[in-house]
Amino acid sequence: MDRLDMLEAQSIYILREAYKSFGKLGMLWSIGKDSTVMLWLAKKAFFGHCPFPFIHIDTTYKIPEMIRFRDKIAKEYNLDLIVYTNWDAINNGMGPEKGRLVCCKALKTDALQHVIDKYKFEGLIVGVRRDEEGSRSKERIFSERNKESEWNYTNQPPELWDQFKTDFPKGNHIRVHPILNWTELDIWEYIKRENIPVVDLYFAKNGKRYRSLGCAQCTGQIDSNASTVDEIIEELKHTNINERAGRAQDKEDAYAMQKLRKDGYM
Amino acid sequence: MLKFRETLKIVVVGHVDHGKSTVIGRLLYDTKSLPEGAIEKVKRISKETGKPFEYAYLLDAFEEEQKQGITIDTTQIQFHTKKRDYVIIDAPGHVEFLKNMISGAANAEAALLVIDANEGVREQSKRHGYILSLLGIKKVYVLVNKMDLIDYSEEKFLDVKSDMDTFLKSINVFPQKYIPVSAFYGENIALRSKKNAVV
Repeated sequence: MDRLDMLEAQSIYILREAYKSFGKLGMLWSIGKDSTVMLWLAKKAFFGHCPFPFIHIDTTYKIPEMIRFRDKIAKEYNLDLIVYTNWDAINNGMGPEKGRLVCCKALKTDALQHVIDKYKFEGLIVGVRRDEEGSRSKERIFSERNKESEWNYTNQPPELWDQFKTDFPKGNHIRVHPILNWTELDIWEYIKRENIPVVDLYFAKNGKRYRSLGCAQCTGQIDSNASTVDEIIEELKHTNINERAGRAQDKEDAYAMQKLRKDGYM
Repeated sequence: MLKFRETLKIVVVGHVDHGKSTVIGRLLYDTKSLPEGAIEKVKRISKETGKPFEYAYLLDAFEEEQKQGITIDTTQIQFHTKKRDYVIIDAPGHVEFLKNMISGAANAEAALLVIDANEGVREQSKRHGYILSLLGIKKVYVLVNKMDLIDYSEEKFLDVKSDMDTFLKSINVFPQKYIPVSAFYGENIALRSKKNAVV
């Protein structure tokens, strides 16, 4: 079996297990390449129709092309899309100048918590990958969060073969990670194979491109001339730079992502 | 037609502090399989904690793991050679994290069992060997690590090998090979060592 076929089959299996296991299920869609691939996989898993809502946590600081792409795809795919912004925090002046981690917590983690509380989600499908970052590399495919969305990462349950822990106290929820075992290169090779539309920001213009997408103020471009999917694949095969090198919040603290994720960040 | 590439999943097991994460970290480092940022980050943290470059930090990403110098949870990392793709799975060596070790090992098709040459066979060396046999992992390689601490003595290496082999045979595990290594100094990790002539 080809590597991409194997990854695709595993992801579809996980998505269907999640759908079977949880009454109230939703998928986080950040408009980035990974969750856009995951959206594609969900369409495949459920024969063209996604039987759960998609959630975009809009910090209001996203790059405008991302929002345009979101609205275009949502319409084309006929998605049940929940867009949520933590307006209380925004109206009180929240922004990266208050401290990047404080801002991520308020506009992403807290916003997500509001959505979970409002819609009573039991399962949230999230497109994190092991090779992105250390604390994500230690994740389970089905990963429990408590009422406050906290991750008890030093005491995770065993996860053997394809047996996932799906029982948990009421009020807690499970983060489901269908593409945990994919690499950045797998994502792009799959985008190529399936001809999946992704936001233009990934393709180089004037010698620069985004390799990882986030909020405008905290996401930098890399030097690159890769302006097609094929050229990105070639670039990734030879690069020695970290995928998230352009993400400023990661550098705020040696354990920034671990600390954010412990409190419920994606 | 896409070119077919084989993927092999290998778990690294063994007693606490016998050097599992260091073996993997060194392998990734010597084969230049890591992005710049990852190595820079470890250098920075090692400097802050006043330690020499700690290869294990490349895998032990949690603050608690780095501060205590232990692996708490299993992790997976991709590694490629010309021949095939590998998924290398790190596993914790403490008895209280056995469920995490099993979570890692359940995914593997082959195992490296690491034993400290100086300490010899310990409780988790045996227990992990037993779990490998329960999980049906047949391709087991034993790495006798920290050969530098025993001056690359062939005699001591053979003692450890004989101890472990007696135990493993009793539970029907027949290792493919015993390999003397020094993960910290990179002997017999990515390249064949000139010091260890005893494979």
